[in-house]
Amino acid sequence: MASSSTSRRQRARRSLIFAVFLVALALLYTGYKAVGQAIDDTQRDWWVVGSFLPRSDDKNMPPVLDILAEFGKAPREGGTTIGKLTFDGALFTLREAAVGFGAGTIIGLAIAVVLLQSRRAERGVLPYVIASQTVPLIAIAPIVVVWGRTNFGFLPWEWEDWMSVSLIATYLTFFPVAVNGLRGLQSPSPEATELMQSYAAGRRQVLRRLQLPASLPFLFPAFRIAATASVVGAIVGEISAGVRGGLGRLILDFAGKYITGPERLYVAVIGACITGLVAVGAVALAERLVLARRGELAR
Amino acid sequence: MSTPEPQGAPGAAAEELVLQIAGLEKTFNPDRPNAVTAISGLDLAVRPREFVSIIGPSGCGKSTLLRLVGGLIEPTAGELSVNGRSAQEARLARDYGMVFQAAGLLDWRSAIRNVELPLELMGWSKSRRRARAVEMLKLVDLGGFDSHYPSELSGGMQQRVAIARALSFEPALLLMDEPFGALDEMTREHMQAELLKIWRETATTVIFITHSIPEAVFLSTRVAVMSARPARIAAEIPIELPERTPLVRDTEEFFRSVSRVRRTLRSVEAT
Repeated sequence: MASSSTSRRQRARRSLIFAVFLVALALLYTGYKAVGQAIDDTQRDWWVVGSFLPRSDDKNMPPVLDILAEFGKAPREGGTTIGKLTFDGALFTLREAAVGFGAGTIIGLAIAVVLLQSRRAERGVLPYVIASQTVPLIAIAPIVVVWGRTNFGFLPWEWEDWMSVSLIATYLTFFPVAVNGLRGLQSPSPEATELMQSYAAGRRQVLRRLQLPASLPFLFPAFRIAATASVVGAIVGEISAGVRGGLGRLILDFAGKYITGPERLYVAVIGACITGLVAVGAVALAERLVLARRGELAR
Repeated sequence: MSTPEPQGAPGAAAEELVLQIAGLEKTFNPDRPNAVTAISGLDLAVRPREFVSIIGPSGCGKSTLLRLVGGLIEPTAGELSVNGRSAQEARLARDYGMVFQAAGLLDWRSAIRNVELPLELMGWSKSRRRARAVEMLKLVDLGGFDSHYPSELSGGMQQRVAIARALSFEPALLLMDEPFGALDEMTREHMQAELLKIWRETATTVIFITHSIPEAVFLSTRVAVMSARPARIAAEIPIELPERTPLVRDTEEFFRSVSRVRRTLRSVEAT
């Protein structure tokens, strides 16, 4: 009883701190803008702060309240509001990211389990896994989309462009899962492994009862990285592959209309931030649930 | 120097022995310049319901011997049979319960689920293994701690869970490698008494590695003294005590046995 009420109080406190942080950020933004603008307006000497810090007029830094108001405005009279457009785009992107995250997790774990089987496999394959991450995403994104349209006809389902974006997100997410997963699978002590041997446990039993559970504390940090990477990968993938419907396309569109309405781009960027936070939050929630089941929150 | 013949069992038939070792040898990295012969020409025989302690200078290969017996590593030469089977066969037949110095509990499993682990691997039904695990935790005086996680248990309690786990499937042989080595003196003596109680109740055969002479004397029906590397059993000392209660530690017989083991150990180390 006592512990649940303290944790509720803690949670309330954390939300309060977060709200205060947001307000402070808005105040800092507004404050900088006001000071910078005042300096900009009076003089432009080299030693004046405002002359070498970013200009702070309404084009570069639209007022906070204008940005907030933009959520409710519609680009066309009576049409969908910017807020709704961003929300729909975020859902679309989140779906791509989630599918990419799921596929990346499965592939990453599979690689980790394969590499676990022999040191030689680990030494031979791991460098390529690492090298895979040096390929620039922007370069492969269009290739993946073209492949998706032309080469994936053998699949039992119709391949759509958003799936190509998911594939790009997969490319980013499998890596941390594979690397941390392998470390986690290797984490049980020799005693624990010998104990399993003394029970005549088979390789699969050792994997299921010992190595996989032992790897969870290593996997969750990887999942957090993978969650943000999948959202960023989806947005960048949408932009460089020209896939419509998600946040990436929205950011591209709004950036094109920046001169007439800079607030919109800010809305889309805030939308992207929140999408990333939702992804990380989902992982954190899953972690809490799993750890609670394992009794590791009692400590 | 005493002979390695098991005391009081002249000409015991092979099938009466739980463990029979003859001419055992273990060399690590055999064909390389850094080859190390840890064990050579080791003989040992253990009868059912015996409690045999193996004691010797540190680094002499006690743990290696235990892992050979447990079928975790293969001997280079010699014979080793457990109830007439090879160590590998015995391991696959789940003849061994093992307890190491580190309790080695799985952090993410409660005490009872840790005890259930080997039963789970052996395919016992959920209700059956739960019932057995409850029984085993009671045996080690941890009834009521079923749902505690290892992090919530003291070192001694963790070690008791490990013992319950090792005994849960009624192995033919309980192999213990300095199980109380990491415990403080008070807990250690308590655990020794506890282990004797369990040994009596379960009629298990125990092989117990230790470097504590009083511990070996208090627990064992026989103490086997190992020589330094390459190790063999240099002497076997039967222990006869009037009773096996904590009070016996203050008796003349206890002191005499302790000093006898100590003298043997010293003579082994000197050679």
